[in-house]
Formats: sequence, structure tokens, C-alpha cells
Amino acid sequence: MAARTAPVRAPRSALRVIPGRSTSRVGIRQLGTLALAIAMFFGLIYSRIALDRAAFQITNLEGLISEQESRFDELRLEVAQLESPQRIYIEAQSMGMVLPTEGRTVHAPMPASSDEVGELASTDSGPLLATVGAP
Amino acid sequence: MGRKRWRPQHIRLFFVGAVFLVAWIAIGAKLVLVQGVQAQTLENQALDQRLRSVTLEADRGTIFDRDGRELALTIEATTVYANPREISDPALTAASLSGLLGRAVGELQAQLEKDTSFVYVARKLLRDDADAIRQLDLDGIHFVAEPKRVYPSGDLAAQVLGFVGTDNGGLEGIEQFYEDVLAGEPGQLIFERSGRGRVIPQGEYEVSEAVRGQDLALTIDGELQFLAQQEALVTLEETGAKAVHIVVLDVTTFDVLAMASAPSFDPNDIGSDPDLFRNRAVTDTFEPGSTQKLITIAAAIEEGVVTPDRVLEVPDRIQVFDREYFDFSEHETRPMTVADIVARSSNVGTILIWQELGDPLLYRYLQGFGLGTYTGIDFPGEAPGLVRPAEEWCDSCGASTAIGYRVAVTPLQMTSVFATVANDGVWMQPQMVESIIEADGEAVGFDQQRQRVLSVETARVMRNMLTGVVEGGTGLLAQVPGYTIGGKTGTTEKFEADLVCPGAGSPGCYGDDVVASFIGIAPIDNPRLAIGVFVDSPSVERRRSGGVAAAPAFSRVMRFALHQLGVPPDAN
Repeated sequence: MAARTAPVRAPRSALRVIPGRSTSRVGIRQLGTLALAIAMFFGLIYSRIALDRAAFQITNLEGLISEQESRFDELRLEVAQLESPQRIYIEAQSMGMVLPTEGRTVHAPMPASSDEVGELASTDSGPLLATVGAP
Repeated sequence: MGRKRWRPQHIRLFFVGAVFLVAWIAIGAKLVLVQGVQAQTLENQALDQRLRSVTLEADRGTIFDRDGRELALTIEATTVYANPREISDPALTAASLSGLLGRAVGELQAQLEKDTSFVYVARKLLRDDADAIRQLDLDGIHFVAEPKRVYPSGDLAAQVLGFVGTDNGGLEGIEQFYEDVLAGEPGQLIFERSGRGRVIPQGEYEVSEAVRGQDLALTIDGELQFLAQQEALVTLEETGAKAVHIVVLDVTTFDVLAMASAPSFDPNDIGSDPDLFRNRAVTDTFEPGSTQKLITIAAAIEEGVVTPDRVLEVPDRIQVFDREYFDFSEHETRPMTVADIVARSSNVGTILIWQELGDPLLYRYLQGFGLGTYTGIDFPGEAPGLVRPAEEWCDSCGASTAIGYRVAVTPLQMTSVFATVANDGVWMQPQMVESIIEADGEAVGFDQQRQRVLSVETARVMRNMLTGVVEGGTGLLAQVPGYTIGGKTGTTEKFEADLVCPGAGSPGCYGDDVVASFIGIAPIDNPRLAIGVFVDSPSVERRRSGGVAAAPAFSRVMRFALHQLGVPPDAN
């Protein structure tokens, strides 16, 4: 059997410089992307928080509106109670007032012309109209 | 080749593998079940736990009087409820609440010890009262807002307004009749809530707003109504009556300006006597007696049967078939004009005129004036009254009908008869609601039925005859200084359905009680008002006739009403 010699491997080429991207430019872009992603992430979280906060504020404001509406209702009721003829009658009675038992109508002088209206207004002849109730 | 032997580690490995395989299959199957087969159901269940639906009660419309005064309105109140399961010391909680609610400690404690998660503690409290309880900060005590119907003027027009139930639905009066208008439509709020019951922001949130009920403007004048109620009460006390009703009509529009009944009730706290709730001026009937002579005489004049100055020989009693009729007081047979017959309220004179008029014509005029049928007023439970057809009348029935018996009318119907004479012979449908006020503030009125019953001339003649009653007849106490008044008294025995007359086999007899009434109009030359005062069963001696029991109240109410409307007195 003939001896065989081992094949001789070609020597590897030496290290060479590969022209490529600048390391500093790659880093800035990646950092920028990362920063943008982080900013978007926090922005999203902040917007959610802001929305939630606004929702709670709306809830609180709705509560305040409801409270004010309730207060308005009670004031409206109070006004209506104060306007009640029954209350006014009792108050008037306590002040010594009575319903007139007879009335007297005082007829106002009717001016014949617009000049007369001016004259009547400029004199001290007293009120034009009067309603008299005699107790 | 020998059989391969299973080594123990292989067996363990096989079993572990098998267990993992089964577990993975089970997990996979569950995954398919949860995410596939039951996905929708489970999602709905989860949503149901978070979602809450709340009915938004619609605000009930306000009821105003004709001057815009609020007679019934809805405010937001607070209902207090308890979850007894959250209360550790019911006795202490009950003691804390007792003073504020005015309820016995024992009663409250029994409620708070119930084995349930919900009991009402107090319904519809005003804000200050609810705040006082809120400040106690008691465990298990909760609050919820509820609309509350209030009547700020208390018993003013109580029988007209009616009232609502706990659920704010109208149960009586205008509140019931106009339920569809006043109630509005409830809305709905759907939202997602957290475990603590708070709204989840960004969660489901749907709201369909409630539609507020429409407002009503009544024809009632609040001040006149108040005075009419005061006078009804005074008359009730003076006469010892069971009840007094006063109706005030504007004769040009047939607007009901006041409709008062005594005794009355406060719709804010209705009490337990349902008899007080009825607006008897509309729902109850009585025999009108002498006030109905107006119809008999007017029909005879309109038909040309008699003239106002026609003289008749009038005895103090008359036999009509099987029945004898009397005048109120004995007198010699004497000549009386038709006007005298009205002024002195002569039963016999009126029957003499009926004999010439006849049943069919009398019946036609009764119908024409709106008796025996609904007036069509916008009020629940109106009684139509009763007028039997003329062909069903017995021989003497016409005579009884001519003087106001065998006919049943409501106080409103009878006041409308006088308003018709005041309105130049035109009957109109009385109305209690002036308009419905829509959401945009527009007021929508109603059409009224109207019909001519008498000619203008007959109406004028009748008005003049009615002045004789007040100036020299049975209605002297109805006079109002400065104004010419026309009117008619009435005193009618009450028919008691349960009473058995002596010698009669079946129940049904006239008893001792009477209905005393006075209905009048003013001013007579240019009428503005018709007022009817009806005194049910006066018991004080000498105050049992219409001229004494009812006429004074008429005078006072008419005087106030004329001043209120600014009607000037007669020129002379």
C-alpha cells in the first residue's frame, strides 16, 4: 500500500479591514430608536394616567354638579314655600293685617291729549291711580 | 437476539413522560374549552360582574297655577338604606340613627338585625337630614339619590292636584289624570365598575338620558283657591256640616279658578282617610233642588211658554197625580210673576210653569245644560250625574224634576249651568288645565266643546231675574257691596239609600240631612264669575238653608274674587 501524503492546506489570508459603517453613527441611530421607544412607552403610560385622572376628575365634577343641582332644588322648594298664600296669610295676620271688607275704586283722570299727559306728569297733583281697601 | 430489558430509569422516564403528555393534553383541552367553546359565555359572565345598569328616573313635570306659582314639583332627595351584614353592632347603629330619624330604637334595631343585605332605613330625606346621618359615618349605612314629589303650599288645591305614590306614579287628581304627560321617560346608565364599586375609567360607559316630564299650567288661581279653602273651612265650622265645596268659574272661558273642599288633606303627608282625597265637586252627586228651577224657568221663557212678567195664581200646595208638593212657607193663594216665583223660590209656581212646558222640553234643556253626562273636565273619576230619559218618567216625575229632585248633578255641573246663563246662553266644557308646557317652553292649550243652550235675550232676562233673589228674595246674604249679584238658593233633602221610610218595605228614603247651596254670578251687567257654594249636611239649627248656610261664604269669596280680577264696581 502506497503511502499517501497529507494535502497541504493553503495558508489563510491575513486579517483585512472591511470598509463598513461608522461605529459612532450606528450607536446614535440605535440609541435614538431606543430613546424613542422608551419615550413612546412612557408617553403611553402618561397618557393613560392622564386619561384616568381626567376620568376621576369628571366623576368628582359630576358629583359636585349633582350636589349643586340638589341644592338648587332645595332653594327652589324654599322659594315656592315662601310664595305660598297660606304662609303669607299667616305672616300678614301676625302683623295685624286683615283682608279689606270693602273696596273703593278711585278713577284716574284720563288725559285727552299727549300735551295733557305732560302737564299731569309735571304737576304735584298726586298719583294718577290709587286703589283703596278699607278694613 | 435477546429481548431488550426495561431498566428502572426507563420506566420512570416513561411514566413521567406519560404524565406530562396527559397533563399537556388536559391543559390543551381546557384551553380549547375556555378559549373556544365557552369563550363567549365566560366573557359575558365577567362583563356582567363588572357592568352595572342603573335606571335614571325622569324628573316629573311641575304643576303651576295660572300665575306660574309652583304647586307641585320634584326635587332630588336621599334615601338611606342599610346592609345588615356589614353592621357589627346593630344596637349601637340603631341608637345613633334613632334621634335623627325620629324612630324607636327597638324598631330600627330589629330591622338592622335581619338576615338580608338590604333594608330601607329612611326614604327620600332632604339634604340636611341626610347629611346629618352621613356625618355619623356608620358602617353598613348607604345612601342613594331618589326624586321626591313635594307640594310646597301644603293642602292648597290638594283634591285637585292629587298625589303620587312611593314610585312617583300619580295616584289621584291631576297627578293621575296627566300621568303620561307628567311622568317623562326613564333613562339608563351602563358602566363598568371595580370591586370597590367605582367607575372604571375607559371602561364601558353608555348613557341614555331620561326625558323630563312636561309641565302643566292649571287654570287655578292660587290666591283665590286659598281664600275659597279658608271660607269652606269657616263655613264647615259655622254650620257643623259634614263637608263644604266651593267652585269658582270664569264665565267667559269656563276656566276653574278655584275648586275647594273642606275637610281637606296635605298631599305631602296624605294620612289614612281616603274620603278626604276625593274632589267631590267633580266626583260626587246630589239632587240640586231649587237651584235647578233656573233651568225650568229658562226653558219656559226660551220656548215662549211664559214671559218674566206673566202673572200666575200660586197656592202654597199643589197635587200632581199621587204626590202633593208644598212651598217652603204657608201662604194664601196669591198672584206672582215668573220673576217673583224665582225670587221666592216657589215650588208650586215652578210646577205650574212645568205643567205648561211639559216633560220632553224640560228633559231637552236638562241635557242642553250638560246634566246627566260628563262635562269632559280633565279630571279622573268625574261623575256624569243622572237624568233619566223623559219617556221613563212617571206621572209626577216631571214635577219633581222641575224643582230639582229625581236628578243627580255634581257641584261643577250645577255651577256650569249658572255660568252658561252668565255667558249669554253658551255652555262650554269646563277646564282645569290651561296648557301643557313642552320642553322648549311652548304652551299647548286645548280645544273646548261649546254649545248654545239659550238665546242671548233669554240669558239676559234670566240674569235679571236672578238679581231679584239676592236683592229681595232668599239670597239676601249673598250680596256684595258695590256689585249687583244674581243667584239662586237651594236646600235639598238628602236621599239616603240605606234608610227605610216608615211603612216602606225596601230601603231608600229622604232623611233629615240636607244639601244647602247658593250659586251666583257677578257682576250682573257684564258677568265675569260664577261661584257655587255647597254645604253638605249642615247641622246647626237655623243654618240649614242655602240662603243662610251657603250665601255668606258666596258673598265673601265673590268679593275677594272680583277684587282679585280687578273688576270695577257698578257705576251707580
